[in-house]
Amino acid sequence: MNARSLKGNSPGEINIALETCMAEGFSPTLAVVFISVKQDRNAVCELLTRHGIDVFGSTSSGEFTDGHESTGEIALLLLDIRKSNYCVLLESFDGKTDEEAAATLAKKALRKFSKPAFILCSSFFSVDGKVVNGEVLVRSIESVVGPQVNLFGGMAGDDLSFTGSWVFTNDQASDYGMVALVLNEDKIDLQGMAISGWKPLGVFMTVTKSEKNLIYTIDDKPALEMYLRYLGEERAGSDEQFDFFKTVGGHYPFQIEREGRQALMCTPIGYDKEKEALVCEADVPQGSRFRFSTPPDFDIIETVIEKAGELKSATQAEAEALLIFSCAGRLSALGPLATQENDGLADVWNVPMAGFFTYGEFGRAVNGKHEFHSTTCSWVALKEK
Amino acid sequence: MNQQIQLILDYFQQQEQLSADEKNALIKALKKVKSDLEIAEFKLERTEKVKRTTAILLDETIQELELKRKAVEETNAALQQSMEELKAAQAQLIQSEKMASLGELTAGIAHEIQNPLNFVNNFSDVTLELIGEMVEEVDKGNTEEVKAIARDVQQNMEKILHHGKRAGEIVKGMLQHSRTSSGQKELTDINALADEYLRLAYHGLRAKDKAFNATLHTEYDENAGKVNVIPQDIGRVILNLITNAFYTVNERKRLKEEGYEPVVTVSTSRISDHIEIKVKDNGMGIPKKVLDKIFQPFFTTKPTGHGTGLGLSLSYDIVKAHGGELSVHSDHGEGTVFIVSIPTNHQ
Repeated sequence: MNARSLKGNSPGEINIALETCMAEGFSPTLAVVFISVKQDRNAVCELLTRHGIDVFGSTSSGEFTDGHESTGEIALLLLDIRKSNYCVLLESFDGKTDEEAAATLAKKALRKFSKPAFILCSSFFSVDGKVVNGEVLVRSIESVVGPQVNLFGGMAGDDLSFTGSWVFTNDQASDYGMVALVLNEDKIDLQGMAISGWKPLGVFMTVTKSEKNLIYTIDDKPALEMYLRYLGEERAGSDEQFDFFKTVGGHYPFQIEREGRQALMCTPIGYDKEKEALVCEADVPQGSRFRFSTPPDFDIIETVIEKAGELKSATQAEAEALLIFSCAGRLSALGPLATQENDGLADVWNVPMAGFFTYGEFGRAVNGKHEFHSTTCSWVALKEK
Repeated sequence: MNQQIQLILDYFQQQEQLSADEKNALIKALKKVKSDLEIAEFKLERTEKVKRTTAILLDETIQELELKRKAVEETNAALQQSMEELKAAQAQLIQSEKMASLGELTAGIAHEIQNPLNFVNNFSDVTLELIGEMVEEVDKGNTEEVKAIARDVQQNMEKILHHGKRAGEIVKGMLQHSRTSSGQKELTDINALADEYLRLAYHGLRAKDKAFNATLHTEYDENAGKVNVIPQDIGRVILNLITNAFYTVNERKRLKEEGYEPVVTVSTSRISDHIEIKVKDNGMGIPKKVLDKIFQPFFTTKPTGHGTGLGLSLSYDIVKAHGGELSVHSDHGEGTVFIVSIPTNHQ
């Protein structure tokens, strides 16, 4: 399998880059498209369709290829993977639960391949405000395919506007659905992991009143006021210019306790002033126990890259393409170091890479199983056997 | 600073005397400097921010913990108060249980006192008659006969005194049983203690229920000897076990099974550094599902008003306090044996 990464600030630029590499004799079958909501998705899909290239796409909150990072632009990873080794499925959540939709998608994948692996992108926030539960998607796919299923990916972004994120294929798009690049694992090798680095701090607290992704009270105290007070940002309530996500939310997510499993990171993405509630990236059940967490030390970048190197050495795996799903909170908390992290991973595998800043990641925890995460850098290296 | 780097970059770009390779190398180096500077600036800014935020977060956490500590202290105080009230209630319940078992003993004690009282009355009657005879002999001046009668009177008075003391001992024992344990251990003849409470329990039940009858077997180990125990406490345990045994054989007898003969066996044995007191019955047996619960406080299978559910629980605690074990083996429908095992060397 050959791969090329492309970048551009418009469908036109992408078209030029695509034609250039095709003129060099490269004939991709599949395009992994990470694109800003500001860009014309349809135009990009049309030009790829015109060239007979299948599309697996997601909107982003910043996108990158090896050596380039942007916000508001387009990043592509083109693969000339055999068509018999993959399929692209899009499943809408409309009219069904997250669990049912994920199970339907997994069953379709199983009908296609006996050992399917998934690169999954899901919308995060529909245009009319419906939130997708990434945790449920993982558990549901796992229940159909089995606990050893390989599942990597991320939740679509929208340039941190929180107005709606999209997933799409050549001819379908959804702001309340998921798209899966289903790979035949008998023919495609996948290696990857997800690392966070955020550290718990302080005592356990309890969500005493919540509704879906809104937290009203923590330990019976107003959640918004408490969260801001704990982070020294009381002024935020009256400051219209206050950028909640970039200033606090993206840096200080909650670590929600999960019995017998790694804590679930949950990032507050905003607040509802009228309801005095915190708006979280995922549903937070009433009674959940959590701790505050602080951003990783700067050496997390080295850790992520070292762990990738260790995995590569241990498995003696080779790769032909690399996908990275890095939490949008990482970009906010690690700034230019997040770029170093992505480039460092690309250097480890020394293959074309594309990725985007996500609203939640799917991936294998170090020494663990596949989970839904937040704040992680989740990457997967692909090789056609 | 970055503007200055940009300025230098622009300058290099315009220098025609530099070769393309030289330009590229310089531009690359400057871009690296620019990137390093950006990262350094970011790190500095973020470190300051995280330091400040973490300090506030910790401060708030400490304040929160302080509030929680105070709340825990208040809860502790309330808990302490509740504990004291609970202890008082428990003490009352234990006293009630003692009084309840005393009730079971009353008829037996009455029966036990009746014997020495009969002796006292009979010997008093005889002594009165002898004194009448002695007065007559004095009038006759028959000194030798007076002396002989006086010796008989003396012997009778000794017997009256002996049986009076025996009655006194029984009353003392009864008072001891109802009194809060002094906690004072004393060397106690285990066979005598078991036998005393067996008789008291049996006569007590017979006095209440004339129809009750059971074969009592005793198998006392002659080597049982004396053991350092709190006699009224261990007595209470034995009484409780025997009373339960009588209750269950009586219940089974009510079923009128053909050929059923109620038998209660009390035995003692010294095994190495332990003394064992076994109370065995051939009553109803204890169902397996309740066997684990019988030592729990307030657990009873008896109908309401027939048991406090504290007897076995208290017995268990008493035996434990002696460093021993109270165990049970039971086959439902076959009978039960309770084994009190007490170390002989427990201080």
